[in-house]
This record gives sequence, structure tokens and C-alpha cells, in this order.
Amino acid sequence: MSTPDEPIGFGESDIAHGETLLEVDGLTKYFSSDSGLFAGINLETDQFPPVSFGVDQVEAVDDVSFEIKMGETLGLVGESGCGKSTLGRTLLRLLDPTDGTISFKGDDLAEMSGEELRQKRSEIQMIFQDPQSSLDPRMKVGQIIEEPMRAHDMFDDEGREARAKELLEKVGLDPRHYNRHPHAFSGGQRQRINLARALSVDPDFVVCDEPVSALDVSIQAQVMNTMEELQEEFGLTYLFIAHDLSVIRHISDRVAVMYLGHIVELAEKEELFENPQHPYTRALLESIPVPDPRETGVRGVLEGEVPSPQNPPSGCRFRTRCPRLIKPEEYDLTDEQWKHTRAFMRAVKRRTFEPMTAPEIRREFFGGDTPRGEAGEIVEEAIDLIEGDGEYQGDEDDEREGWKRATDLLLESFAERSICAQEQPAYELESELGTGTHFAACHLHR
Amino acid sequence: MSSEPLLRVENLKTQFFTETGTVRAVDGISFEVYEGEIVGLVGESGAGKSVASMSLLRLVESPGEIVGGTIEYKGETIFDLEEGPDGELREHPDMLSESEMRERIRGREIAVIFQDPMESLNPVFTVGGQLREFIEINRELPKDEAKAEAVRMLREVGIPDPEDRYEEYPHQFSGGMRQRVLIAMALACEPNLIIADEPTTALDVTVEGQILDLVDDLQDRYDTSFIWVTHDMGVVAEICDRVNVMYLGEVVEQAPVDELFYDTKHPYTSALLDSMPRPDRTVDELEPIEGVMPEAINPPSGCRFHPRCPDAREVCTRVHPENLEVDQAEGYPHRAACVKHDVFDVGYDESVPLEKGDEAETRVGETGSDENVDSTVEEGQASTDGGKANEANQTNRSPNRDGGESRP
Ligand code: SF4
Ligand code: SF4
Repeated sequence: MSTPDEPIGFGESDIAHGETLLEVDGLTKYFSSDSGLFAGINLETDQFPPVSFGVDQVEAVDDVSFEIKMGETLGLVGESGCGKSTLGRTLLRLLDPTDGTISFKGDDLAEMSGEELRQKRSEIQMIFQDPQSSLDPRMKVGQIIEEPMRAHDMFDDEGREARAKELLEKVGLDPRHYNRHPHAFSGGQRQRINLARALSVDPDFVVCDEPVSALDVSIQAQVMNTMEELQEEFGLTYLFIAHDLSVIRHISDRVAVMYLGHIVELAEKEELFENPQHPYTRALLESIPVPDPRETGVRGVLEGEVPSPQNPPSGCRFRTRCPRLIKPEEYDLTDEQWKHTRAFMRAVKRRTFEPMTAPEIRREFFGGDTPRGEAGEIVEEAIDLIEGDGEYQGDEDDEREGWKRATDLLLESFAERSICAQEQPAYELESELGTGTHFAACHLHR
Repeated sequence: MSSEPLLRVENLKTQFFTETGTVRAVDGISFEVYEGEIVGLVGESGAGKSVASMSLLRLVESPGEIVGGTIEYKGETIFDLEEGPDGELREHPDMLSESEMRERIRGREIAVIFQDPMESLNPVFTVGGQLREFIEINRELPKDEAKAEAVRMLREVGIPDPEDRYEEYPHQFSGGMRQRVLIAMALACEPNLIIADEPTTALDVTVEGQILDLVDDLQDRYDTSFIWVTHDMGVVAEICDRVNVMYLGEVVEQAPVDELFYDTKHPYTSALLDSMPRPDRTVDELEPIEGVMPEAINPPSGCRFHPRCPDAREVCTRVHPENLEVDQAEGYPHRAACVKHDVFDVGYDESVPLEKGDEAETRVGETGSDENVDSTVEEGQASTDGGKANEANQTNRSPNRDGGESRP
């Protein structure tokens, strides 16, 4: 398809700027929990006797759908363990999807295998976080950059060398460094070598997994600027995975936020940052330390920790920590009373307070006034159980029994009856800023 | 400003003697910490901020050595040198002995919290057991009281269900929870000063927020002073009262936090702020700093920032600026090591500007700042000194491991 003296962006793409390049539908990736969760090993479970009992599934990515348009940068942000890296690797078929389709230029990558898939890989490349470990120290820079071209049979030796040198220059390095070993380069430069290598096969789409997070801020800026220049010049499309919201805000056109295997919000950048519609996105944004001493941030806004992906909460996966968890329909509670009840339920579940007497609990959590009606009865029952706990002085196991029952009672009566626990939310909203659609997985928009 | 600082550091120099030469990791820094304040030590990898903070507890080990300067804590001498009869430098007789440092200072007066709590916790003992033992030894409490105190501390730092979690092992805790345990350990002896070395860098942003809140809260209650070592200007803005910006082994700017951000006096600090993407607004163009930080083994002549400084003039290549007071703010000095300021009076205004790209090492040929020193240094862990359970916890630390390199 090409000769060495063709210009660097040689393969003309058949998709116009702004058209859908990649469409992901219902993409799911489960690991069986004994397969070394993040080692990326995917056990062929069908080679084993079907042990359906006792083998836990880790739902790393669950039913994710989105699309990426030609020439754009989609930012994918989330905290560790949210599944963003697994998603990136599954898109590239470095991991086999459990379910769903990955339509790239109309072909379903999820269905491909063997030679067909290998061919396709020249169009999709990946850059990883740690430029050090992703470059083979025994190889010279030139060989590293030429390797993908060789794998895809592009050009002859001379042509590859010419292209490698040209790329070195494009990514801001000296073509004379063609014969050096990667250890002679700084972190920022190594990431540039990775860029050159990824671009050598003229891909349309590059998945960048935390490409600048190992770099110092001043170097980060240099590398991001180069990535933007390259995108412009070669019409690249990026999926940019990062945990750093500032980096995401700078580089993305649209942003998807992930939490525990789900995309919880997706919108154009300005809309997402200025008009976030999911409580998790809000919490994330409020938590970032802002480099301005006159902005006193809210921070520590989220209680608790991310639940295990082995046993994710039903419905909305954020519900165990959501500050807005919706009140179950069946109870007649004022907003204030629901707030108290919710806080009490979580404090009991997390055991953040020492056993105390019923009046003390009422005062501490309900301002002395527990709700009336059915909800009130449940609350009172839980308070009794906890108070009873404090009276045991002997066996430690007994001591916790009442507390445990109170926890179960509260969770069953309140948390699990919320719509947040019963239905998986997915809503399309209108953007206030910009024109695109705004997806928010939160029942507050029902 | 209260009269006497809690900690006074003057002209501190720490060097590493390696095969390839002497690395001047910390090269003559001075700063003070007053009671109840959080003082930031900020810079990029290779700036020397971690080595500086470890020097304060004399925890630099071979091939590193503190070679000069004075460290005073509450009037006591942690480090000082004097001239011997033959003009050679030797330890000052007032200097605290190693056993005094271990028994009275480390952990009890000055505690440390590291970035990776796994380095400070022993994986084979329960979290509660380690904390209890630490309290037992350092506060000389009987076992059952120490246990009750340990549970109380765990609850205090926000560990849910502390009675149950007391029995768990470090690997059963998340990163954020482990960091809370370390904070509990650091606070256990109610020290006056805590050195926190990138304690939130490895944490997710919502967890980082929780920890910063916790520190604020505990600081209000115990009035502990902190030295906060970080690469993150956001964290600096959130929690520091005063800030020292480090570049290549030196403090190049020192100011109260508001001053530092709103009346920046050193070109490196400005450049750092301009190169950062912002979470609170969209920056269309980032202005990166040219090049990389050179190696501390062979620093540039004159002002060490001159090869990358947009304001550099010929004089900057010759004159090495001290960190001098250029202004006052909130009763504290605002110091900057930049000859642009009038106090330097070295003819900056008349000097010829350096051509951009002339001196500036372009990206080509730069070598990694992470390659300055190949050797690693063994350091004890101050916060856990005295805890038997933690004795096995000596870890390798490279003097250049600070900053920015370890986000999840
Ligand atoms: S669906 Fe419910 S729990 Fe989930 S984010 Fe919305 S309000 Fe919170
Ligand atoms: S002394 Fe010169 S080179 Fe150094 S920071 Fe000031 S202006 Fe820049």
C-alpha cells in the first residue's frame, strides 16, 4: 500500500473528521477472580470443569457503550480499579471481551481473531504509562521504532530507517539518536520514543494509558503539547486514559467518567467540568486540590471506599457512597429526615462510632428527633439493637451481634429499597454548554 | 510570626559520594518552621526535597552525608559542625548523639509519614498490633491501655470499625486506610513536628481529599507543625501556610502561600505554575518549561535555572544568587534567588538577554533527572523507630526518588 518516499501520514483514512471511528456497545470484561485480576491473564474457563459455584467473577468492565469520532480525543477518567485500563486494553483486544461489540470502521474487533486481528492492529496503537518498562533496553531507538513496521511488513530496511528518523524529528527528538539505547533518555524522551513507535505504522487511533502520569509537571506539558501537534498533523484519534482530571481537562474534547466498571457520565469537556450531572463526577471535581490558595476546596467529600468489583452493588454502583442516594418511595420522610436516616445507616454500617445509649444515638444522628411512621419504627429497632450491644461486656462475638443485625435491618429497609439499588440508571440529558449529548447514569434525572 | 522557630535549618548541605562524582543533592538550603504551621517543600523530581527532609532527622546514609549547615530543633542542635584545631571540620559538641536522636527526637518529637505506607508497616504483623506496640514502647503504657489507645487512634484517624480492623494485616487495608494508620502512628507520641513526604501522592483524588481533611482536622486539635514534601502545587495551595520551592538542590523561593501564587518572585515558580493544566478552568495552551532539570552532579554555573529561564541574561550565567529577602508579607520574609530583583544589584538590567535556545539545552541530549544517582541509600524510618515490629522495615530509597513519579 505504500512506498518509502510517500509522506509520513501515508495511509489515507476512509473516514472523515468528526464521523464515528469506533463504536463500543455493551462491552463487558469479567475476570475470574483467581486468574490474577489485573495481571491481565484471562483463563479459558471452558477448559475447566464448569465450576459455577465458588468461582467469583470480577466485573472489571460492565456493559459499557460509547463512541469515538474521527480526530477527537475522548478522555477516560476514573480512580484506580475503576476499569479504565482494562477497558483500553479490551478495545485493543489485548484482552478478550466477555461480551459486547467493538465496531472499528464498521468491523467488529470483538469478533476478530488471528491474522485478521493482527492486520487491524496497525490501525490501532497503544501507549502505556511507564515509558521505561515498555521500551526494551537491549534494543536501539531505531529498532524500537521500526519494530511495528517490521511486524506489519511495511517498507524495506532503508524505508523503515528513513521513516524512523523522520518520526524522531516529529516527536521532538534528534534523528541522530537513532542508534542510542533507551536508557540514555529521560522519562519524557522515552515517552516520545513510544509515540514515534506507535505512529510508525500510521494508525488512526491511539489508546494512551496514563501517558504523562509518570512525568514531572513541566515535562508533562511538553509531551502533551507534542501529542496535540501530532494529532493535528496526522489526524489522529485518541482515547486518553488518566486519573488526573487536570490533564484530562486540558487534552480532551469529550470526557467519560468511570466508576467501578461503569461509565457514569459522558459529555463534552466544558459541559462535564462546568455542569456535571452525576454525584460521583461532582465529588471527583470537588476533591481535586486546586492550585490556587484563595480557592478553598470542599475536598474529602466522599465517605468510604470503592466496593469490590467481585460483588458490585446492584443498580447504581455508586449508591453505597452517594451523598444523594434517593429515598425509597414507600416511606414518608422529609428530606431532612432522610438525610439523617441515610447518615445513620452508613455510620452503623461502617461502625464509625462507639456503642452508645439510645438517647445519645438519637441526639447524635437525628437531632433528638427520630422520624415517625414505618421508617421511624425501623430506625428505633436499629437503635435498640445497637444500644443492647453496648451492654455486653463478655464475649467479643456476642458483642457484635446486635450491631450486625442493625446493619442488615437498615440496609434492607432503606438502601436496598431505593430506586438507586433496583434499576441501573442511564439517562440522556441536554447539554447546557455545547451541543453534544450528555449521558448521566443517575436516577436523579429520572 | 512567633519569636522562636520550632525548627531552624541553615545552609544545610547533603551530598552523595558516588562513583561518577559528588551529587550535591541539597546545596545550602535555609528555612524555618514555626509552631502550628504547615511548611511546604515543593519541587520536581531531583530537586532534593526528600533528601532535605530526611537530613532533618539525620537519616541520610552512605553514600550520602550531611556535609554542612545547622539544624536546630527547639534550641537543641540536631546538626552542626565546628572547626577543629587543624582547621578541619568536625561535629559540634552540642550535637545530639545518635542515641538521643533515636530515643528522644525521632518519632517522639519529629515523626515522619512516607508516601508508601507499606514501607513503614510490617506485613507479617497485624496493623493494630504494630500500633499498640509502638504506643506501648514510646508512651510506656501497659499493654491493655496501649491497645485501647491504639483502637482510639484508629477511630480518630477515620478507620471504620476499628475493633475488627485492629486484627487485620496491612495488605487487607487499602492505600488510603494504610496512610491513615501511618498518620495514627505518627500522632501516637504527639510529636511537635511531622515530616510528611508525599503522603498523598499515591492516593486517588477522593482519598487524597479525605486525608487532607483529616490532617487539617488533626492539626487543629493537636497544633502539630508539618513539613509537607510534595510536587503538587494543588496540594500546596490547599494546605500549606508557607512554602519553599526547591530547584536542583536549592531553595529558590520562599513565601507565604498566597504570596507565592499571587506575587511570584522567581521565574522557576512562575514557569511551574504556567506549565500546569488546571482542574478549575480550561487552559488552551500550556507553556512548558524548556528542557529538563540538569543533573545535580554537574549543575550549571551562576543561577542553576539559567539554561531554562525565560528571563535569563548574561549575568545569570556568572552570578550565583542566594535566596535573599526581596519583600515582606504577612510578617514573613519573601525570599527569592533571582538576580532580577534590586537587592542583588549585579547589573541585571544592563545585562544582555540570553538568546533562547542558545544556552537552553533543547530536548535533544537531555538525560533523565532520575539518573543522577544510581546508588540507593538505606534509611531507617523515623516514625517507626523504637517499634520492634518495625525494625525489619529499613528500605532502600534513592535520593532522587522524590516527586511525581508514582501516581497509581
Ligand atoms: S442513581 Fe442514586 S445512588 Fe446513583 S448516583 Fe444517582 S442518586 Fe446517587
Ligand atoms: S537569576 Fe537569571 S536565570 Fe536565574 S531565575 Fe533569575 S532571571 Fe532567571
